[in-house]
Amino acid sequence: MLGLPEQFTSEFLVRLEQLRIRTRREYAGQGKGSHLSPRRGSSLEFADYRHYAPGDDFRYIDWNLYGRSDKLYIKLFKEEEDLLTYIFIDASASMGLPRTDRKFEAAVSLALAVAYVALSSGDRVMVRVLAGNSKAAAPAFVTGRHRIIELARQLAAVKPGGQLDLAPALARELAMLKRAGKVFVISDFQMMFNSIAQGMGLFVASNMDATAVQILGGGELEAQALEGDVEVIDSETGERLRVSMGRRAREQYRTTLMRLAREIRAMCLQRGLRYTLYTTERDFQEFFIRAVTELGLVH
Amino acid sequence: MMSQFGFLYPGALVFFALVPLLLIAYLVRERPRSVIVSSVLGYRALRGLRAERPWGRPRLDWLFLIELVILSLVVLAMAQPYLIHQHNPVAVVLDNSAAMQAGVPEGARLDAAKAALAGAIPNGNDVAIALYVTAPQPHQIADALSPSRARSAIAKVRAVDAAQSPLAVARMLRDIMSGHRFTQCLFATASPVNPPVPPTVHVFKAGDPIPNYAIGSFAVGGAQFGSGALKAEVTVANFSAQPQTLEVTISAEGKALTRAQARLNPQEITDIEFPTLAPSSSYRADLKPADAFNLDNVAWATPPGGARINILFVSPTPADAAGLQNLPQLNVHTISPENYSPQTAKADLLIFEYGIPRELPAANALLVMPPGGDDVFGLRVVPGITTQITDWRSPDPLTDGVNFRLLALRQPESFAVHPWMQSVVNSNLGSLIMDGRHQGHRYVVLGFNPFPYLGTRNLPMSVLTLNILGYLSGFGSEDKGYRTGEPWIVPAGVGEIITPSGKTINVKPGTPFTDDAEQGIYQLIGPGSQRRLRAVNLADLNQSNLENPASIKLDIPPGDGERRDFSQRQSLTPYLLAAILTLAACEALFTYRRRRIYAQGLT
Repeated sequence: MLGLPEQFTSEFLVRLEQLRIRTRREYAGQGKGSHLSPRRGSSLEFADYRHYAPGDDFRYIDWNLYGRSDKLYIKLFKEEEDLLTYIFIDASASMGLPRTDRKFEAAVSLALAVAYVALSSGDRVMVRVLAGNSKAAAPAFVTGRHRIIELARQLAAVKPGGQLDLAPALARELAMLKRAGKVFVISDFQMMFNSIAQGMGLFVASNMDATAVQILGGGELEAQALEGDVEVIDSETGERLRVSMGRRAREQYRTTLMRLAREIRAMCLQRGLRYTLYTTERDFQEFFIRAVTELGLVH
Repeated sequence: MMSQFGFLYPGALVFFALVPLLLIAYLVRERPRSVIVSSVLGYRALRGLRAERPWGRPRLDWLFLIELVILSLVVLAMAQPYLIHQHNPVAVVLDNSAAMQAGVPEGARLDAAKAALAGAIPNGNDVAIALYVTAPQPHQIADALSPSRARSAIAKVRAVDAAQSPLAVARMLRDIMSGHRFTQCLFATASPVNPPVPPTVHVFKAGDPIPNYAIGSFAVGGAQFGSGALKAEVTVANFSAQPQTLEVTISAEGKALTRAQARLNPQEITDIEFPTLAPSSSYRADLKPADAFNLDNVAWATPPGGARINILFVSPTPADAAGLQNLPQLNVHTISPENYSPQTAKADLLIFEYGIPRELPAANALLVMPPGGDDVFGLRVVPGITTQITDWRSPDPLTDGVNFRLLALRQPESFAVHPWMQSVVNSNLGSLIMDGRHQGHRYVVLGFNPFPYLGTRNLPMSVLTLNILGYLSGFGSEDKGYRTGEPWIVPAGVGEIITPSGKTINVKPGTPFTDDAEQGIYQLIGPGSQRRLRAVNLADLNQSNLENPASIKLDIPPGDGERRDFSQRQSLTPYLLAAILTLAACEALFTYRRRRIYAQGLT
C-alpha cells in the first residue's frame, strides 16, 4: 500500500495514529508540538513563579498569591514542542542473514511504524542507516505523516551489507546531531558485547532517551539449516569456524544467543534505556501493539 | 669440519608413508559444508565439541601442518639419525731454540723450518691445528687453528735465545701423540731425530751442519778467594773440522779491556782466563772469528755482588777458626760437634774438624782429618808415620799456585781409594786430599789440618786453604751465571725487571722469573730505584755445536703412533625429541588460548 510494507494495513495505521512517543524526560523541540519542553511557554502546564516586572502581561499575575503576600508574582508555564525522534537502523550484512528470516525487512517495518507514530503526532523524525549499501545522506528531519511514503521508498532501496562496529558508527552519527531527543536503535546486535555496551552508553552520555530493538530471525535462533560438520563463516568478519551441529549443539547455540540477548537487556535497563526483542517468526502487528510500552510508546 | 649424515635404523623411514596417507585421508574425506551466517558469536561455544580438540580430526590449517611435522619428526626419531663429524687434528711442532737463529742469512734455519711446515700442513675444513714450540720450554702456543691461520701463526714464531732440551722435546712429542688426540704430528727441527720414528710423526730437517765457534760460559769473579781483585774466565769451543785460533775480547762500557787468544783443535773446548779485570758493572765478551751463529759469539757477565760467605766451623777446638775471621767476605760461626744439627745448620759452607756428620750435609763441606770407617762417606784412613807428597792434580783449582815442596804437614794421614771421590794430592800411602760431588754438593777431604789459618806466616798452606775454600764456596765451579730460558727466583726487594730489549716487567720477590729467554744484561730494580745487574747467556755448548747437535730420541709407545679413525658420530635423536615436545606444547598452548579467547568473546 503506497510503497509501505504489507503489514501496514489501514487498520494498523489507524492503530498507530492512536499512539504517541513517550519520553522519560523533556526535550526541547524545533517547533510547536504536543510534548512538554523545558522551555517556558504558553501551555497549561505550570512551571514556576517570578517577580512581576513592568511590561509583563497582567493576565499571568497570580492574584491569590498577591492577596496572601502583598507582592506581585507572574506565573510561568511550560512550552509544548515537537519531539526530535532519531531512528538508527542496522543495515550490516548480518541483518540480511538468514535470508528466509527477512530480518532487515522487519527492521525497516519497525522503523517505519515508529516513524509513523512520531509523524502522526506532529514530531520530527530522522532515520539513519548504519552500514549497508546506501550512501550516507546528510542528516535531516522530516515532518508530516505523508512523508512516511518517502521514508519507505528510501529504506526499500537499502540492501544490507558490510561490517558494522556499533560504537564508532553511533559516535560518528551523534557528532552530527545538534539536539537531544528520542532514539530508536534497531539491530540484531550480533556483535561483540563490548561494542554494544559502548554504543548504547553514548546515548546515556548524550542525555538521550534510547530504545534498543533487537531483531533475531526465527530460523537464525534455531540454526535449522545446519546439521553435521559445518564450516560457518561470519557474514561481516569472514571468520570461519568448524562446528558439528546436532540437537545438543543447536540447543547450546540457542542458549548462547538468548544469553547474549538477556545481557543486552540487562545492560539497557541498568542504564535507564528501553529494550525489546523481536523475533521474525512472530506476527509484526501483534508484536508492535503488545510491545508499545517496551518501545517507549503510549496510547 | 666435514659431516656426514646417516640413520642407525633406516628401515623405520618406511613409516614416512603414513604422512602422505594421513594427508590423503584428510583430502578425500567429506569436506564440511560452508555456510555464511549472520554471526559466529553463537557458534564459538560449540568449537570444542569434536573438530577442534587437540589431536582431533586433522585440519589443513597450520595446526594440522604442525601435527604433520610432529609425525614426520617422530618417524625421523625412530630412524635415529646421526651426524658423523670428520676430524683431522694435526699437531705442528716448530723448533724455535737458539740454534734455529743460525744460518746465512741469519735465521735461515728457522725460515726453512717454517717453509717446510707451511707446505706440509694439510688443507681442508676438517683440519684443526695445534701449534707447539720447543723453547725455552716446550709448550703449546695455539690450538684449533685453520690451515691458513696456522700458517700465519707459524710465520710469526721467532727463535728465542734459549736452548731446547732434547729430553723435554721428546717428552712433549710423546704427550702429543698419546691419547690419540692428533692424526699426525709435523715436527721441524735442526736437531737429528733418532729412529724409529712412528708413521704419524713427520720430521722435517731444517738446516745442514755448519761449523761454529762458541763462547760456552763467561764468568767474572774474585781473582783469589779473599781478595778484591777480579778475574774472568771464558769457555770457548771450536765446533769445526779445522783447528782454529779463537780470540776473545772483553769490554766494559764500550771499551775493550783485555784480549786473549787460544788455538783449539776441532771439537776442542777450553777455558781462557783473564787474570785481572778493571772494575765495571758489566762485561761483554766477543769471540772472533765470526760465524753463522752470532748468538754464541757474544756473552755477558757481571762481577760478584760482594755477598758474604757464611761458614759453619764444627770443631772440638774452636780456636782453630780464629784465623779465618780476618779474611774479607767471610762470616765464620763456630760450634762444637755435639751442637751440630743438620736441620739447623744453615751455612754456605761447612767445615768439620776431626769429625764427620751423621748424614750427608746439604751444603758444600770440608772434612778435616775425619775419622775413618764412617757410614756416611765410607772413608778408610791409612795410617802412616812417614807420609810424603808424591804428586798432585794440575791444573786444578785446588792446587793452583800451591808450592807443595814447601808445604809442611803436621801428622798427616792418607785415605784409601774412595768409590766416588777423586784424589787431588797423593802421598806415598794414599790420598792426602780428595774431592768429589754427591747429590749436587761438593765435598773435600783433607788428611791434614790446615787450621788455624796463619796467612803469610805459612804461605803455601794459606794458598792451599784459600783454594779449598774458594772451590767450596763456588768460585771456579761450572756454575757460570744464569742461562737463557732457565727460570730463577726473583731476589728479595726487586719490584721490576728490565730485560735487555728494554721491556719492563713487574715482578714479585720469591716468585720464579721466566721471561729470561733473551741473552744479555737484565736490570733488577729494587727499592729506591736501586739497580742490580744480572747476566743471562745461552751458555750451552750442546746448542752451539751445530755440526753435531744433540739428537732427540722419540719415546712414543707403538700404539700411540698408529693411525686412528678420528670420525665422531653424534646422535640427532635427542634434538628431534626436544623439537617434538616443543611443537606439541605449542599446539596445546595455542589451542587452549584460542578456546579461552572465544569464551571471553561471548561476554
